[in-house]
Amino acid sequence: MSTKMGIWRGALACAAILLAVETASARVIDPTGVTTNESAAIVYYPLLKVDATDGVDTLVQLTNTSEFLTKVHCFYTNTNGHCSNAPSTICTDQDFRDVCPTGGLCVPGWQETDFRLTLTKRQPLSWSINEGLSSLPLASTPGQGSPPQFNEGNIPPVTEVPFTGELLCIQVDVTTELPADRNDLKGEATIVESPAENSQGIDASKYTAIGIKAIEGRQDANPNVLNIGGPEAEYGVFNEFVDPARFVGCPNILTLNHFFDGADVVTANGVSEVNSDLVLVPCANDFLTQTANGAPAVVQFLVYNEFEQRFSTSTSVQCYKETPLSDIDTRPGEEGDAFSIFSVGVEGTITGTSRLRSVAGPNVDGYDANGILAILNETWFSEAGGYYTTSANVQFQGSREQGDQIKIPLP
Amino acid sequence: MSKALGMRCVWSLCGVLVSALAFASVTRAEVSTDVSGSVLVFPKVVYDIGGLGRDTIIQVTNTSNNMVHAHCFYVNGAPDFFGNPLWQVTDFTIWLTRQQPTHWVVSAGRPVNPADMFGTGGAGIDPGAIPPVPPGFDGELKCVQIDASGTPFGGNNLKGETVIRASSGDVSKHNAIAILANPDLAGDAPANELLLDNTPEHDGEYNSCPNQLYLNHFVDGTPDPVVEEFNSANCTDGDCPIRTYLTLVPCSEDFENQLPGEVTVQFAIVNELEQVFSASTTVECYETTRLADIDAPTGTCTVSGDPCVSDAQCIQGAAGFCSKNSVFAVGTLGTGSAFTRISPVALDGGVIGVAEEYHYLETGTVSRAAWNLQQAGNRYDATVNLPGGPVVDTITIPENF
Repeated sequence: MSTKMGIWRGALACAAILLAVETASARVIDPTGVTTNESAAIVYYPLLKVDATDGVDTLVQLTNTSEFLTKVHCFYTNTNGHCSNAPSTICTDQDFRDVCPTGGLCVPGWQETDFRLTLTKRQPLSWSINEGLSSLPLASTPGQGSPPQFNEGNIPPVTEVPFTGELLCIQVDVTTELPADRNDLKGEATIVESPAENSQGIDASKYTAIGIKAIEGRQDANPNVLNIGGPEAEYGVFNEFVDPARFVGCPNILTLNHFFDGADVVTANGVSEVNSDLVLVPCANDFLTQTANGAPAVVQFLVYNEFEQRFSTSTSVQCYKETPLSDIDTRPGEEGDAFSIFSVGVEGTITGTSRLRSVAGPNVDGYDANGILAILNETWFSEAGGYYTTSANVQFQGSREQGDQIKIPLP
Repeated sequence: MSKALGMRCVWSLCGVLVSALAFASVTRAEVSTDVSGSVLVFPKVVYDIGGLGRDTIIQVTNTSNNMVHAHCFYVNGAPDFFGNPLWQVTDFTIWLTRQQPTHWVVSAGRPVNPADMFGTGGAGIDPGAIPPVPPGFDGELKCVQIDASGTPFGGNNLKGETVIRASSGDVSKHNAIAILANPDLAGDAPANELLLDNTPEHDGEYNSCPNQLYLNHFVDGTPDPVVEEFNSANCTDGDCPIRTYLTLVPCSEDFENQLPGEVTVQFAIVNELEQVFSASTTVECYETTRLADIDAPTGTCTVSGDPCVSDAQCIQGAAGFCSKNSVFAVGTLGTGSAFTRISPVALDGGVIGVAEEYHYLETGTVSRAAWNLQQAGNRYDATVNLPGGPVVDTITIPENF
């Protein structure tokens, strides 16, 4: 057999194998590396709240979906802002003119507190973030397995009340406590408001924690830096529909359906006016050097109403942003809200859809994606004067070449 | 180039490509609430004029830059006189221009009216005439993306949400479940049969339904920790329970022959002490139930001790809440939360669903919060090696005529 013939036969055999493999692999369209549908290695709760005055607390649920003992390293981030001239006073961009002494500004905060715990086989846990869990259910009582598994660790309460912030939990190896390549965690957060002074009042809203999938066998020699997508991806999913095919991480675009602010929604049983808050958090976090994620990410919005008319605006997110939709393009506070492109008076229709794209960095090292994640929170004001809230997970679209990094302290 | 070197190059190249495709084969097939799809399932749509007085707002959006058509089916699963689901189907078609969002309130539908005032519910490009549902409607809405001729089309361009509003003003919202299509095969003959058999291991038309659903929930009857913490006057003796209601719909439906799907599902419940319990039920057409009702039809009112079947009975008589001896109840599980896996049995098809939590005050005042279930695996791959397998869920829509 000549050399050329051998090569051609080899190529033919290779083509046959490729054809067989291709036939066996299903087409799944443009996946992203984050999910609220499946368990994952990292679970992200972007919105947690405690306010003793208003009777608000958040119930966090976290479950190990596997049959193996699992360890988790979690980070609470306190994103309360404080007045520049009264550091003990908590403020927001919306209310700092009222709560801070004259001349004070609201300085955004970003303080993390971390803790570790183990979860036994398929064990669910739930706790109030205002109270924490000083003792886990199987701390001293053995689990049902053989050999029996025990819980280790405890969950501290949040460090400041009122509290607004986020929680990030990372699955780590039980022995080494280094990030693990398993996807066993799922979670939910329920924000309940039941103030004592309004004895008839209760309001609950719930969302699913956002999961980031680990890639089996890809954890590298630098365990304190978690690469989500990008050239050295340790977290994400494989996307065969991009060129070149690669592992991808946080989504390229977020899509959210929402009511325009001030919309009166008429149902058979009454009318409610709807306003929405958007919580934006970066995919990247630096818990190691506490640098609050460096430069802010610019987020571009494309807003469509039911007439297919398109509007656009933009904002920036450094480490955490919770904002009414109407404040994205007007001054914080109610002033000017009626002139926002998120206002029903400007848009003319009740609902709209917004596409959010964070502007990627210059791609210096492949980890300048500036990816973002989000939760939508709607407040429905009833005719009787009360209000009810509901939360919704935002959807994802597409992927980007660059990745994001989470930096954590090692044990 | 030597023969050995040439062969090595060819096989190396082959190896790289096979590796790439092998990675590709592990990309997940999805029934998803994260991305847009070609079939949208709104599992819980209610219009209740009595009792809770709830109405539903549907939001649907075209996520593409092309015109999108969808064929939608309301399925009324409310119980008939004998307690069986009505299984009445009403269908309609919508058209959405590029990136267009639309919405309607199910009790009113959405008539085509170009004179709708700005800022009112009808303002915008009407997507087509959408009929209202009758009072007492309790069922699902399913929308299938089609092309201009009415043939199913795998564009994966639809996303949606549901808001259920009670007469008190309380609202709960969840995302519609999107079934993604394989654009190469969706719409294959017979076009009106949508085969849910696309998986990482098998090229099919639409993504297969999940093999298991995962539900994290507070156990039935556990006192709401936040009410106990901040509003204890409304939680005397822990009587401010949290309930979880689960809605399940079979993935298979035959709208052509009016045949509802039927699936038996097993529940494996794990509490915080890692103790395992189980229960089962059969979903015919549509099932929406309090978790404790799955294995305990009757109970007793917490205050009066009278027999009851539902909380409403006890609340109306100021007799507390209807406590049941269920494997989902706090009296059995003994912890605040639990993790439940929901699995169809043997060669039954898949189910999809949504959960809704009821947070009660002692007075019976309630607030609800809905959320989407998580999933693991898919029915096709899980049953492909079983005798008689694999299971291929099928949505059959009426043929064009």
